[in-house]
Amino acid sequence: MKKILALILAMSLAFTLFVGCGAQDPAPTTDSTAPTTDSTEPEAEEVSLKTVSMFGATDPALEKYNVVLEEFKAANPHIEVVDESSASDETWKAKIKADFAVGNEPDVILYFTDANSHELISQGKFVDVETIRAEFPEFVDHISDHSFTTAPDGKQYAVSTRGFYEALFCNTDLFEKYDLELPTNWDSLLKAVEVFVANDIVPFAASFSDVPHYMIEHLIIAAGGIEGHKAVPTSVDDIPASWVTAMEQFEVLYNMGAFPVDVNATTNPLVNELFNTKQAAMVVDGSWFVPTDAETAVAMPFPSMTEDNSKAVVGGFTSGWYITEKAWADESKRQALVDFVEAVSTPEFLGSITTVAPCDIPAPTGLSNVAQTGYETFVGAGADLDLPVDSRISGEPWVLWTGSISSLAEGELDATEMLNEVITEFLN
Amino acid sequence: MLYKKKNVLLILMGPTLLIMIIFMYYPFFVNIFDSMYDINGLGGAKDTFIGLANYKKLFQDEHMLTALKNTFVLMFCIVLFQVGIGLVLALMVDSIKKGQKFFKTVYFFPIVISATAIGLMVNLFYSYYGGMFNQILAVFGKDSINWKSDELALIMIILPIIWSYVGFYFVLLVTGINNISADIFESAELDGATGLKKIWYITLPLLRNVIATCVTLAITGSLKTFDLPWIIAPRGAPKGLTHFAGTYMYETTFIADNVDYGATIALVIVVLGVAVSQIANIFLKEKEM
Repeated sequence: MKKILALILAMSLAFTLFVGCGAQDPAPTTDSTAPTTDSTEPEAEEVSLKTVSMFGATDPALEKYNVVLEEFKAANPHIEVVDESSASDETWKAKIKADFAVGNEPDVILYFTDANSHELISQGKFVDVETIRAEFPEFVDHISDHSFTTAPDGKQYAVSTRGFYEALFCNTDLFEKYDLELPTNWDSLLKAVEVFVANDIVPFAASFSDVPHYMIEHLIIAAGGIEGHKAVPTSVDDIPASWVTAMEQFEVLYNMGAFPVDVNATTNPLVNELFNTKQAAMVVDGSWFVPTDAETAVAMPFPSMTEDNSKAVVGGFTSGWYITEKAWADESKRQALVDFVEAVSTPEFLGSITTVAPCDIPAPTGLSNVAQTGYETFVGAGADLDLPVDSRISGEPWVLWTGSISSLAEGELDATEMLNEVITEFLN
Repeated sequence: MLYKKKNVLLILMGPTLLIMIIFMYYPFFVNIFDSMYDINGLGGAKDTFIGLANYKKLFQDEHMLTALKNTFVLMFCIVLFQVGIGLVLALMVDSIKKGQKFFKTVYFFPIVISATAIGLMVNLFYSYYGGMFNQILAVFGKDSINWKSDELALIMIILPIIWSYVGFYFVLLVTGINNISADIFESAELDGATGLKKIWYITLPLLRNVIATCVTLAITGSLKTFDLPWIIAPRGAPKGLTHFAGTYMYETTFIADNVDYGATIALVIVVLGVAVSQIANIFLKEKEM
């Protein structure tokens, strides 16, 4: 009797459980289909985008980028955007390369279009613009054709965002205080160095250990003009004489006291602070540099050793939005990928973050003195514009080059020998 | 015995072993292969076999020799000063009756500060223009000093490394001292051993194993040192004179994109770590009575 009772109870319990299990399945189905039935349009498929940008914490564009991101999210509730923005220093570059190496790449990335991207392009990590336009013919059609950077394989991958220029930034109040002309030729530059040194002002805020790149590039332009800067030696004998002259100027300027005492081991943020606090008169930096006193500072072309009022500057478009091949392979993501790149490439957004845009933008107004003079410097350069040397010579030879500047300046290394070593490494 | 059947133990240890194989031993062996191929950039093609070329290059590379020399100087300083100061502080703190917790917290505190924060702070101390050290010199009417000159840079980088990790060894050694039975000290005191005699004849011999562990950790830690030097003097500034094995490996791999040579340096670091800590263990091994 007890066995029968136990069997009945067990069956009852099992029945209750089965009923419970069976009753839960339809419920979510009913709930999930309800909105679709009521809605007039089919609900868009939910997708998630992992995006990465180079808008760092101190970049004024970050705030505007975040606004665009929020607007995009609000307009596209079915797209979840997980964004990671960071300054594009060497550590960041290494992290991005490592992410790609292990298959953890983002879906959309604002990345360099120079030599930094060539390895990833050769590995087929990005989808080219032509492929995207085959499916979305109007994809970023407002971006000027000439602003797209062509990769070594002849294809264009990145949608340029903002251009840049590098220039000589001067604290004009210090030049006025010591009755000096702004350096528009080599003689006036050397005179300014002499006067500033005599008055305990650091002429050039520079760090050879952290970012010597700007000085290298501008001394090359100063010695050989834009054509000399564009040279890509095919042998050691092919190294332009102007490059040797340029590198020799490090020792000349160093012996004049043109650089900070701790130039060989200080960091870029510290030397920029020297310029901001008026302890230094000049700094060579890029259009992203925002001096504290933006009204007394000006941006201008680095003076030439061979002519007055040179217009040549380093600049161009070296970054753009890439869609990764891994993301493009997921067809359900394609519309979201295209929409995202369109959203961060509108003339309004580009005009709000740069005066050097790849498309027609509203005329810049209300710029600070340094931004206005920088804009004029870039526009005034016209064709006298070239991308940095490390867009062509990167990796080990560039590390060798930038790591040699301290020894060059102190006369421990011969400029010709150093360049021979760099180019030999480059050609290997 | 907790488990009579060893199979249970094997099943429990298995996942950890698997994780170690996947994330440590497999990459380690891949790293050895990588050092024999020409690889430009992370994830670069591995299609050119270069054999032992990188190992030959090691012996001709001046920067590598500098990095190794600096690493051994750092190792010596870390063992001597980090473990040494940690031991002295541990003995002193153990000797006081009141305030032990306070000193333990104060000495351990630098460990919880990130190396990046310490590095940035130190850079502000060392700055030639308006840095704290030069401001102090100015108060005494002295000329400013370039704290990161060719001559001073290495020692100025090693100092904060030592300071930031003394607390780690201090805590290990204090715990070691606390584990020594109070009966032994009481017996020693009855026999007339006090002060330095007590430390020399009781504490230090009984701390031998803990000290050996500290020395091993110090040796392997010095070979892996990277973060603080990289923040204080990026790229071995000035002129690569302050490179350590870890910083040089990083620069070679991630900045120069020479992945194969970076893999070679990484292997050297591992081999040196194992070899030097084994040698240290021979000297510090407890002698059988």
